[in-house]
Amino acid sequence: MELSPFLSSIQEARLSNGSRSLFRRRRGSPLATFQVWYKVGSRNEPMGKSGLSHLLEHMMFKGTEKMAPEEFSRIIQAHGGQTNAFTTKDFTAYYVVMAKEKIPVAMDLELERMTALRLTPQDFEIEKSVVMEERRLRTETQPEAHLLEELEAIAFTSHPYRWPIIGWMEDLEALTLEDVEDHLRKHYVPSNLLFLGIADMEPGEWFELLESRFGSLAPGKTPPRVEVREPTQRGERRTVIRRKAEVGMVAMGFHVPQVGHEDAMALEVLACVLAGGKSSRLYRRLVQQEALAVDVGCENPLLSFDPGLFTIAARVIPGHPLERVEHTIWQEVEGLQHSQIQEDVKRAKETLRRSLLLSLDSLMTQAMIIAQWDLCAGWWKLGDYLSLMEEVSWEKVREVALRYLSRENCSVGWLVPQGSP
Amino acid sequence: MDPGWKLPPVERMEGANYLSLTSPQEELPIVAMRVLLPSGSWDDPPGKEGLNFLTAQLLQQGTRKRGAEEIHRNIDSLGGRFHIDANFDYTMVGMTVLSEDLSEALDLLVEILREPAFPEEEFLKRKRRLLGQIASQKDRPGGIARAAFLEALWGKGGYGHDPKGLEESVQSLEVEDVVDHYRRKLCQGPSIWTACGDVKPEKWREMLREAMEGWGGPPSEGESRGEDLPSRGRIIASDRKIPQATVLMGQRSIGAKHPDLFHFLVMNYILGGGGFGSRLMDRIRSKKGMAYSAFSRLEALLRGGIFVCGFQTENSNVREAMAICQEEAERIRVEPVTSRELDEAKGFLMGSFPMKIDSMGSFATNLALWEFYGLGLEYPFRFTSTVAKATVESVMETAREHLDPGSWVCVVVGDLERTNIEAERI
Repeated sequence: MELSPFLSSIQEARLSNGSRSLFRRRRGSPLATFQVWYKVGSRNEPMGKSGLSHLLEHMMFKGTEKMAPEEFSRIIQAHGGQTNAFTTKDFTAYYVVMAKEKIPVAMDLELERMTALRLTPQDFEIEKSVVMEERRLRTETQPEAHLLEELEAIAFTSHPYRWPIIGWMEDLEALTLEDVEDHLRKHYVPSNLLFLGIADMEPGEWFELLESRFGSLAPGKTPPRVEVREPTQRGERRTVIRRKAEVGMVAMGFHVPQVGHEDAMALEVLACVLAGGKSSRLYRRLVQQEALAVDVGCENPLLSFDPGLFTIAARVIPGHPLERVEHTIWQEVEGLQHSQIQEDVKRAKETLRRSLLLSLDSLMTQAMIIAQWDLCAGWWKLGDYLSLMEEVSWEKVREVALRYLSRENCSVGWLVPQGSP
Repeated sequence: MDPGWKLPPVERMEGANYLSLTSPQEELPIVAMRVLLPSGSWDDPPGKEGLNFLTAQLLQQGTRKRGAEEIHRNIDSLGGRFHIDANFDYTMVGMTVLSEDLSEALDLLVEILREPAFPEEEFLKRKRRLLGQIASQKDRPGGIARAAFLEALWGKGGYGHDPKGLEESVQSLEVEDVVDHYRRKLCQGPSIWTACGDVKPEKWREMLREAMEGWGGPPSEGESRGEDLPSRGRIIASDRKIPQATVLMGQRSIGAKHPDLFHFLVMNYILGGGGFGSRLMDRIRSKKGMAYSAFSRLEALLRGGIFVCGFQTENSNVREAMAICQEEAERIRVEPVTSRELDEAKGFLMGSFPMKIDSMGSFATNLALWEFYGLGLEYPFRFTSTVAKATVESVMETAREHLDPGSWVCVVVGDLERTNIEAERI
């Protein structure tokens, strides 16, 4: 199986106001998805206003003159659909999944909130409080999430990737309704978004549905660019979190380039060699052979606007010293940098190829893949993914491991359990 | 009633000790396979909680022909979409592969299920890892609350423990327990095999017939049962110095085969199952801003069900949010819901059904579950037509019959000094 049949079913169009739109026909599916992706995330927040993009995402559900708060979700659900939104470091996405015949309902509601959002001080205070609860839920009561947040905060010194998407609690407390309104005006403009649709209908029919609703909106001013470049790291950085917990964690982050850079695909393969699947080097050693870790993962930020953080994280089985786990990770990383790794690379490439193709099984994953590739590189570049990966040699993987997985480019975080919680 | 969509064709075949359901679809050259084994944590003998889970996980840690590392290598080379889910009632092993890999994948799956070797060394390592996973659950307030809630509802046996087991029970497990559980229970009962996607039913039938020849036998009955606990209101709490409390409240409830199941789901949508369309979310989150999420849910299982309301909130809000859950559960028993609420619930439950079968993976999983829980292939249409008949009166009757907020068990994990509640400490 190759990607070409999937890619050839994607069509691109521009509405009269210049908004970009992608559509894929998915034959035989009673369900469709309609999504709006804005090119704004925590990366676009000024210092001291962390969490602003995510809070704005929440406020988009607070209604209009015609629509009560949360009415958007209620109407979609009453039509048998599901809707939600998410914010990342780079973008904010709103999605609806429902029967294809009902999609015009979702488009009408989206147009309504895009043009007539009502932001009141009372709703703002309630939603800010909800977001603070979300932060307590996802980070403050979760020792591992706390560690990963701190790791990013030390790894980046000036780039906005250093602060969490949900925002620091102190920043959240200080955010105002005016901040949200200003962010909305600057970034939620038709020239800064992507419409995405997947449905079993003629592409022309889909684009017509969009054009008739959104085509006449003023395109708006292009938002200001983020010009910050993270300075080169020149030495190891460390953070140690001591918290009441049962299970410790060792996490390591390395600055790496993103899609479009000549090393990006080799880094993708490297991440899989290290911790992609149970036959990967770190899983084999830490989990399977020595039973030091509950699990281990590795992530390469391939689809990112700016250079991100290549992370390795292992949850340590109680009773084992964190030093030993960190030392073992370094042994594997440095061993790989000086070994013949033909077999590992061959395996990783095969796993990645199949994994991408198998992920196309789900409607939402299809949409995520198309939108993220489009916004970070151009959707058609997905077509090069497999061929570029195929060209990655084992020597190249070793070379990028040497170049990026160095101690001076490394930030290390430890979660040290302090007795029973 | 016409739900407005069709279930893709499904072929059903009964073998000697298995059932096969196949749904060929050709949009993508992908096949999702699932095997459901009728053995779950309900079958864990007293004192050996976690046995079914550990046995299931060890299936992939070595067979008579291949060692653990070779199996993992083979799984990864097929794309790595392999999972073993050991739940309360059943264990499901699943693989999603490219159709070109189907034959190889099925061979591997059958070998894992039929010829596990349970090497002592792998047993010890996997046990140590499982103890780490159990410890890790204690780092999550939700994990602590869930464990206390299950035990309070069911006691030590039955559904009273997480399928992963308890620290002390897992500590005591020996490799002989695993071998015995495998032989006696895990791979004995009639298994359910499903395959959805780019698969030819005829070829699948043939492959399966060959693979299943002479496998399995009548399973021995599980010995575990839930204790007959008196139904009474209890508040149980675990004191943690954290800025937010996690709260679960609820009772034992109806199971998957209960005739009121579909009406219960309509009622629950309005109470707390319908996200922003539900009363709990509306009051606790949208109106008060006290929580990110507030919900109620029914876990309908084979021998009964678990009804639970839950939320997480800053410690000082706990009392108020708990009172709201109790009030709303009481209100839906005595006051008619509005016609708008009813229409929204019906609209969602009927219209969203295709989401359960949107991917080959979810379709294969759900086909196996419908069969296991006796819902059958007519389930989507029976569900839709029953929900369509729900009325304001049926919602109230269902709530009155099956909700008893006065008897609820409430579990709070948080800073008890700040929550200002009186509770039994754990």
